[in-house]
Amino acid sequence: MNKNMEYLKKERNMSKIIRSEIFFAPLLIIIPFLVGSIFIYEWYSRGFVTGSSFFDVELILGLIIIFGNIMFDIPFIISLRRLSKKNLEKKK
Amino acid sequence: MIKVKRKLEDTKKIINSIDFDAHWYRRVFHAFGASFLFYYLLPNDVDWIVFLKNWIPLVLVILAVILEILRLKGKISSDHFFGLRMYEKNRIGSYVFFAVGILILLRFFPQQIAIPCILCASLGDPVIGEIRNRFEKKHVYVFGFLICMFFFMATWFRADIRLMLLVSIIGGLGAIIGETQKFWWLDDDFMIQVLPAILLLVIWFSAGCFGLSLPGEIIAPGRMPW
Repeated sequence: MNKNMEYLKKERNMSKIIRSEIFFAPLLIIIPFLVGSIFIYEWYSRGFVTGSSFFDVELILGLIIIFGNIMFDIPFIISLRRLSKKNLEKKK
Repeated sequence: MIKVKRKLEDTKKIINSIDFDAHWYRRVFHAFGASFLFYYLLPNDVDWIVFLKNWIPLVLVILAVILEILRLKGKISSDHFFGLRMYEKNRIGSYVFFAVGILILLRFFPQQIAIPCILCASLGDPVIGEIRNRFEKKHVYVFGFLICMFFFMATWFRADIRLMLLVSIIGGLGAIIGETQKFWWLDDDFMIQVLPAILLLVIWFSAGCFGLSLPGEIIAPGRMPW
């Protein structure tokens, strides 16, 4: 692995850092999903219902935002679960 | 002695797990950037919303810059910043470049240019990063270009087909060049969005000379229900 691509490792404040990550996780996951849903709702209410194709981009953007985020959310959640399992094992 | 050894081993384990986590944390943070497209859905005819639209992004970027200055001066420990890379230890963090790039696009570029460029930075960049981790360098250029090109095509599909193709090719090329060229003083998170935007601005102003008509706004601002 390229040395430049390595992350700063800290032995101090480890629990603080992990907590901050877990604290931000719901925001990082929920907000894009919410924004994507709003885009799709805009397409539905202003485009689909009225039969206008002008709002089709909203649908495309909504789908790109939701699926683009899900693609990274899943491995992120898996890594978080793995981390909490490791911490549980450590406590035992 | 045994206790110290065990503690050292435990710490090593935690550091290893953090290493893995920081990688996905950065990816999710990047993908989160696509949420800023919500900016264009906000109504333009309500004064207080326009005020917030103008000031909130600027205030957020100023806060990020202040935080970074304090970190670089040593007033705030780097320990409080999760997922920083080694090369960012003594340099401005990528997240500031990412935020400044998005701010510039939102404020100074037409949304037709800003939207695909923001998508390239927020979704294209992490996908390219994953390709780089798994495949050869040539695949990074090819797939990276195709992914970024897709974002331009998906947003410009209502434009004249010649203009859409031109914009997609130039935009995709600009994004992949911006992403792959690394400078110590300028981050690829900034370049991947601003370089294609500048190239497209040239097309934007010269399209009329070639008889090509520019498309209208991609996202229509929302309306308040009252």
